[in-house]
Amino acid sequence: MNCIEFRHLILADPYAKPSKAEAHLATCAQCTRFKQEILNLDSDIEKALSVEVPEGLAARILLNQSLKQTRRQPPRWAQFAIAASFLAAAIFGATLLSVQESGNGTDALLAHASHQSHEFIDGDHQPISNEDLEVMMAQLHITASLDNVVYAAICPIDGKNAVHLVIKDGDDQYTVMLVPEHSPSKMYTVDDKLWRGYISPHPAGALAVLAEANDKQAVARIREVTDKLQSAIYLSAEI
Amino acid sequence: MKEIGSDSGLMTMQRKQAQYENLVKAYSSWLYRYAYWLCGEKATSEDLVQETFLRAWRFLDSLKDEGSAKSWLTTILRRENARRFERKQLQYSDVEMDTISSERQDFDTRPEVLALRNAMHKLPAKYREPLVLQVLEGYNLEEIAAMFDIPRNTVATRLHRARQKLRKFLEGEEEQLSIDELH
Repeated sequence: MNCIEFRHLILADPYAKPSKAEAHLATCAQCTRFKQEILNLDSDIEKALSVEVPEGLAARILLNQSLKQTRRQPPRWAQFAIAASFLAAAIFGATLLSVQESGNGTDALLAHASHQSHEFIDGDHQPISNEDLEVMMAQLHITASLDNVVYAAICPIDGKNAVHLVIKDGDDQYTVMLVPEHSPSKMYTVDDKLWRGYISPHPAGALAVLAEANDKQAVARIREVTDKLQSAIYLSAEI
Repeated sequence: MKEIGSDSGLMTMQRKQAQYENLVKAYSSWLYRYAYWLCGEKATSEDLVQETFLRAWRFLDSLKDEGSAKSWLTTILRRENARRFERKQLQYSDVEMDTISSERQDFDTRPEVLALRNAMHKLPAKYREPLVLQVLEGYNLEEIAAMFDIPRNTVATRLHRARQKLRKFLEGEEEQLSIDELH
């Protein structure tokens, strides 16, 4: 490492100590001085950045949250939708397990579905804005541009945190799940007594789009919706 | 059965409330400081922190890894700030330095520290933000890259330029940033 490379490194990260940099430092008095200057600059920056936090900030945040928290029950159709959706989650998880022959996790999936159903019924639910969706999905480095999301959560499916959505598309309703790190080699069809749909490969993982089998109209459009969702959901790094 | 379900729901809510309170206590101060260096105004900083925690409450169930809570909250706050810009079409440079100076009386007022504060305010946001994260909170390049969804090398370049610019400011070589660097 020469002096220019060293200074580039130190200006970007004075706290990094790669061995090449340490070796250079041991032989170059000028760069030792330079590093000290940058550390002094950072120390001054830290003092300059000091901002007094207003007294009682945490208490005001908690009060605000408690005032705004409304315990609204979801409409009945939404309760049915979500209950159905969790069943779909179980099917999706089981299908993935069977496709990938990764062991028996179906019981865990069903337990999860049951547990999450309780949380949904008891929780605070509102239509999901794109901004809120963005916040939730940011954890998995996934971004989506979707309208009419009526339920969104991160759920553990087959040992991975997965995105679980319920989406309205016109009069039709779809359950959508995206499991990162699962890579089905091709598109699979779900043709169950209760559900129809597809599990397809996606850059962010395995994408499942399901409709209730008795909802003929939704089932008829499921391929179209799957294609739409393929391009509406993407890894943040793709932006 | 109904009673059991009801107790279970109550316990879930109590757990959520306790988790939320812990997050507020642990991170509200950091978020306020960060917000201040994003927007330059005390009142707006508090609004941003309030909005951040309200949004966090709605999605707390989705937070599966407690260790990532701080960067998750920081990301929410950054997005809230970006939305504020979209709503108000307000440029950061519209905030007068005089306003900032008169508003703030509770910081180190030595001339060299004041000069550095002014230099920090003049620094374009894309340079200032990662520098605040690194210097105040010790985030490394990878963590900042993940938070901003940009490559690690881009973070390194921005931090490199941020320090270069601050040094030039302090040496009086760069009184004013070019307009195209402000956003």
